[in-house]
Order: sequence, then structure tokens, then C-alpha cells
Amino acid sequence: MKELFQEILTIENVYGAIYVSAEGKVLFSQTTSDSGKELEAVDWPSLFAAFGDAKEVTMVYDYRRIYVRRAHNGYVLVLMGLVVPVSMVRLSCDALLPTLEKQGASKGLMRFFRRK
Amino acid sequence: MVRDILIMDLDESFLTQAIEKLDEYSDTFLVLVSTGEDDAKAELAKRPVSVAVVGLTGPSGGPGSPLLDFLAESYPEMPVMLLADASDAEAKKQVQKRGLAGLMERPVDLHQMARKITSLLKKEADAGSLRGVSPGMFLQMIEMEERSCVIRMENEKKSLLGILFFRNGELLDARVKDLEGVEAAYEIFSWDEVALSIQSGCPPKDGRIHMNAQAVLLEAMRRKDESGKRPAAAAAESLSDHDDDLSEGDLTEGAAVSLGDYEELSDEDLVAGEQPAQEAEEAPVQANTADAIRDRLDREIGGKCGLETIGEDASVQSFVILAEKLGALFDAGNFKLGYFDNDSGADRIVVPGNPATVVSLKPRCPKNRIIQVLTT
Repeated sequence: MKELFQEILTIENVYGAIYVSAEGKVLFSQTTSDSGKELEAVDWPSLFAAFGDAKEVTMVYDYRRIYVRRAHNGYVLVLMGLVVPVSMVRLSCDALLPTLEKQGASKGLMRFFRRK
Repeated sequence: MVRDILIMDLDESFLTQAIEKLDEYSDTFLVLVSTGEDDAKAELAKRPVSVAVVGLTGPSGGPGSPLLDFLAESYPEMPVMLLADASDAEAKKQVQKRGLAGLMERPVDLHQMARKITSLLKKEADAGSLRGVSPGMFLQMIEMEERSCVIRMENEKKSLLGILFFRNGELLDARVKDLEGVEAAYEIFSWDEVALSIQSGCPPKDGRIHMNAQAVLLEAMRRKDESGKRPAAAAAESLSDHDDDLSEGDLTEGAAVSLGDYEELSDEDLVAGEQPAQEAEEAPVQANTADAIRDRLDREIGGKCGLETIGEDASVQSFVILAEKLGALFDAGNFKLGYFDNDSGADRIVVPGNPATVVSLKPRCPKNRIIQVLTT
């Protein structure tokens, strides 16, 4: 999973990326802050419900921005500085989402069966 | 209305750089990119593109002739610029032979390209522009004067751009959304008021509309009446079930709540604007009430911000609390706003406050500028 997020993580002023399933399970997390356990405690389902049918949400804070992108079965969150090439982040997410979707689809027993 | 330009090139890193660098011109034009001919055709079919920049190469290594043929045939009014190496003699020949808008040599100076695009966009209104006119009335004028021109009509309420082609006063073709020919003309002539720009001359184009302009106009009006009667009749039926005392005036559709004019770009605005004025930066910090936010947007961006509605809304308070908690995990500081980019419908901004304020924006609003204004 880490390789998939590598491109986003190497963008200037990006401090981390988190991938959370729609049910609220943290599937991937790499951030500069030590927030691993606390991430599990976030009420992700309620947050995602608040996003409604938004494709992208940008949350702006005093010192950081969090860019959220709806994925096939969850959300990708990118932790960024205030000055960041957002188009680049968006483009990297465009490239990432189909790969995440494929990964999700090939889990479970179905991966042993050949597709017609 | 902010125009769309399309850059077609195989080099993804160049496209990424172009998106980034040209973002500062987003008040004037938005950049669409494609890495292949099919993608480019799909983008062009979705929306009106004002300028195309082609860096794709054909089988011989020169400019993609089939694509240039396609653009000349299907979008003759759209200026096309080529991207090529300085040594590419074939590209230079193509520019001259085809009468293209220009050649940008690699490595491309993106700011120079932006200036060129801006000047091409200005030509869309080289014969003038008007605001608040009825398309029907204008059609009759063009017909009487027997003018040859391309007219771009902007429906500000629906954020749509329609294009009409006239040769010697005769309506040749029309295009709006994914409609072409007479169906597109019916749609455009059903609009109440438009802002329009007139470009002199009509590119070589086969006529798709084989009807008298008056007949097109009458049919558009008939269709508009038909579509207007249906909802009105339904509303009347629904209301009569509940309140027999309503007057006829009550049965007409109420005006939509509008809290800001969505003014389109004037010719002067097509030149990239300067950074925010000093006095704006020195403005005192205001409370996050709906009125204060509206004032701030009005003062710093004006009607171009695309404000649709604004109001206080306690139902988004749970989102604000969750966003604050999430920010605290990363020492991000105070939560300042959440921008919701919706697939369909208006974009929304949630600004924390007591209660929180929700701003609804028309599609294609200057998103980055609005975020900047509301967070500084």
C-alpha cells in the first residue's frame, strides 16, 4: 500500500496520507505526526456522512489543509501545508484511485478465480 | 464566464506543470488536459472549449494531422496552437498551411503561453459584447444586417455557453452542452436574457440548420411555453388541494433566492487580475456571520464569486466539531472552513461560527480565490 501513496507523499508540503474505508477502518496511514492510535478513535462514519455526495472536500486550518478525496470504497485524506500544489495532489489522487479500486476488488476468495 | 482551454500532449509531466502554473489564470480560463486523441475528443464533446493547444504527434513524428483535421472540421471557430520543438520544420509548415493561431516552441514558457491564450480569448469579443439582451431580439438584428459572425451567448443563471454561427445573416449552426444544430438553437433561443460576445467573420462551415431564423425562434418560443406550462399546471394542482384562496399570482413560480449577482468577465477582466488590494488585506477581522461573509466576498471578489445562497445552518455543526477534532490530531490549528466540491449541483462552503454558515456557489466559481479570501 505504501508504494501506492508514494507519489502523493513526495509532493512538496504534503505531510501525510490516510486511507480510510467507508466503514471507518484505517487501511493506510503515514503522517509526520504520531497520530496512529488516535486515528482509530476518529468517528469516521459520521465525518463521511457529513461529506454527503461531495467528490472532494478541502478542510482549511490555521497551519494545515486536509484534502479529502472520495474513493471507490472509502476516502483518501491528504495532510498538507497551506501552500501546496493542489493540482498535483489532485492529479496524483486521480492516478491512485483506480489502483485502490483494483486492490479492493481483488481481495477475498474471488482473487483465486480467473475472470472471464 | 471563465473559459475552458484544452491542452493535448503526451508528456504528462508537462501537463501537470501546465495545470499548476496556469492555475493563477483561473479567473480568466481553466485548463483541461488530455494525453490522447480520444480523450481530447471526449473533452471537446462535453463543453465548449475556447482555445486548443496541440502537442500530440502523428505517425511521422510531426503534428497529429488527423487531429488537426478533426478540429478544423468540427470546431472551426476554435483557435488552435501547436507545441513543437524549435527545429520542427513540419510544425511550422502546418501552422502556415492551416492558418493556426500560433506555434509555441518547447521548452514552453507557460506564462507566455497564458498571455497568448488571453489575447486569443479577447478575440472572441472583437466585434463587441452586450449584457442583458434577449437572444431572439438579437437574432433578428443579425438577420436584418446580414452579418457574418460567431456569437457566444452566456446563460448566467444556468452557467451555460452557447455558440451560434451566422453567415450573411443566415443561421448556419449552433452548439450548446452536447447539442448541435437546430436542437441547440432551440435551447439557446429559449433563454431569457444572455450576455453575448460577437466575433467577426464566420469560419468555413457547412450549414446544419436549414430553417428560416424566424421559424427557429418561433419553435423555440413554442417549446419554452410548453415546458413552462407543465410545471406551472402541476404546481397549481398541488396548491389547490391545500388552499383554495390562493390568487393567480401565488401560482406563479417564486423568484429564486439570490444573494449576489454572478457577473461575467468583461473584456478588461480577460487580462489576469492583480493580487488582492492592500486595503483588503488590512481589513479588520470580522465575525463569521452570514452577513460578514457576504460582505467580505462582495468587497474582495465582487459579483464574480458566483455566490448563490448564504445562510446560517445549525445542521452542519456536527461536521464542524468532527473537522475540529481531526485538525487537533495534526496540530493543524483552528478550523477555518470546509469546501465541498460536489459532483452535481452547487459547491458548498461551511464556515464555523455560532451557528455555522453555509455558502452555496455556482459551478465554476473561482474556488482558490474564495478560500483565500475566507481564510485570511
